[in-house]
Amino acid sequence: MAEMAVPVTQSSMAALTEVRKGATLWQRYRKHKMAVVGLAFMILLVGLAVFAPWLGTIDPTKTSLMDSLQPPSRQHWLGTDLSGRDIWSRLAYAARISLIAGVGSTLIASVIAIILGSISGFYGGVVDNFIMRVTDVIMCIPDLIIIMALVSVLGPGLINIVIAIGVLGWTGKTRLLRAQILAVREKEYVTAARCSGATNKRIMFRYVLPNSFTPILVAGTLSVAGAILTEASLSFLGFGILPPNPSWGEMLNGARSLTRLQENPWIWMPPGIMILLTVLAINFIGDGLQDSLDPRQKER
Amino acid sequence: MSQYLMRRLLLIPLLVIGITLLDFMFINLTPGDPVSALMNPNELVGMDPQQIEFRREQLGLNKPIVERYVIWLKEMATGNLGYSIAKSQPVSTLMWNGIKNTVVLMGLSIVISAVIGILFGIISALKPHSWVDYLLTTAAFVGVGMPSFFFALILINVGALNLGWFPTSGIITPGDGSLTDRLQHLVLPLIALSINGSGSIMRYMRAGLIEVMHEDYVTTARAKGLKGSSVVMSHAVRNALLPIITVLGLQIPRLFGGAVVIETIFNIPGIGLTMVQAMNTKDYPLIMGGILLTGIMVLISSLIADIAYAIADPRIRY
Repeated sequence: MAEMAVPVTQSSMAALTEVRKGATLWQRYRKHKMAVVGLAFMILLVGLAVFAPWLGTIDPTKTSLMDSLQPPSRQHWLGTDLSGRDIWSRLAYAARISLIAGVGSTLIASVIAIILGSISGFYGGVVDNFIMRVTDVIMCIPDLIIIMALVSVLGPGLINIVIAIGVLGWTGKTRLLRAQILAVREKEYVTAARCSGATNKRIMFRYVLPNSFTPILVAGTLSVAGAILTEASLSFLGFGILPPNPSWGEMLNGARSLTRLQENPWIWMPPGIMILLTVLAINFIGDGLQDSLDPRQKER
Repeated sequence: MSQYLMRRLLLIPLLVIGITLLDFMFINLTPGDPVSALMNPNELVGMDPQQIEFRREQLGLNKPIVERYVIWLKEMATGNLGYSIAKSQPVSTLMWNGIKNTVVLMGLSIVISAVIGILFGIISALKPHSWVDYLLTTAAFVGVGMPSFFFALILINVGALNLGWFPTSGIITPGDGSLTDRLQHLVLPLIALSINGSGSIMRYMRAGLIEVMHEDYVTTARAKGLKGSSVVMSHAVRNALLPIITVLGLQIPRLFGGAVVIETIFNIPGIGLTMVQAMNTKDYPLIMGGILLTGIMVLISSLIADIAYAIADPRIRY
């Protein structure tokens, strides 16, 4: 989804001019205020996910009809939903689902992209043509529709969602890596390695891949946000994580009724805001990474 | 047209075959078999098992998979997309009923995103680092990251429930159906569907225009004494607009995903809602038809984007 190269923000360009040559990655990254804020938010989110049981939460699936639709209170920090489940607990545990869905599917997609993109870019010819045409075909079919179709075959649940988003999410990254490899393999140092008798394997792993990695790292970061959004959309539509298991998308699904929507904002505002903030944070990190990983690109 | 376009045109049949292959592979993963979905369920009701077996034979269901693919493809080519299991109606009829609403929704959404994105992108790029730029850039970031379903819920809550300006769902008020009525129903879904696109087009436009403003031909235009507005509009903006055509083309698949969500929330009977219902009832023939149709629609729209680019860019000529 969010795989396209994102334009550079002006503040980031201004920041780069101040960066000394030879500054470390972190020194360059640090200059992007929003990227640092995004990183801080993600660290907090991971903390929330990991330490969910110890952060004032109760069993997120525990229903209590007497406590149905309670507004926020001392006992239920963010109130309760229709079945009397504690919103704060659900919000915290759902962070696990979102992070696993985002990172897990990105890992699957990246592994496929690295394998196919390397083969395509390095060998070229018929194999390359074939892989690229398959990529074209998959890219024709709208992401959400084909992922929904696959989930409808595999069945709902976290693992199936991770698989569905992962096995269909490699196309953009494969193209990026292939293009990058095509550029890198014409570089002098690759020719030099070839002249000095390095094997194909060595050239590939020692020279070409490490130098082709920046775009896929940035695209991978951004696609975590895309996958989190996809999982939320699926769960919102009722195909992903099913109740009583908590997921931000599924929590928003609880507000599909107009009365809930108007009268109980505490059941749908928090998960919506969490999705928005998480996507924003990851996009800022991706932007910051892009600028700090490849400063040369911006100096032109 | 240019050589590039010719190559693109030649690739289309190949991609269409690819989409059908993928679709056929998908349906083979599902329970039931694709060719039996081609039979009219109303016909099947009165048949005894022997007749059904004969019909299977006739349709070639007992043949190897490659032959079945060819049979299936021939049926598709004649417009027989199979029969919906849940609604026992031809898939083509169900899709045809939905396509109009989806095309109106998506078409208007593209226009809105383009206008808003380009306009605010220009305003932002003309005064980089000003507070206006800062405000608009932040808005664009939020627009890109906003989950459309969350935004849709906020819109319904504010625009329909609290202010009462717009209806909460549907496409017409029963008994009405005038143009104003239809437009009123479109406002909230369109805003919800256009937010991501507007944000991302704005970011591309801003970045593109800032880059173009440093080009030699802009300096030349200024040096020969052209007015500032004329430099911006006829030299810089025109060139910065070109990549936006490609960006718009690339947005289409994402827009389909957005349409699925928005049509479901606002209960708009389009392809997206039909697909969601099909997934809910495990109506595989309908799902397949939807994949095929949306795939081909994306293909056509990306071709239109390529042609538009070639027309807009005077450098692409032979």
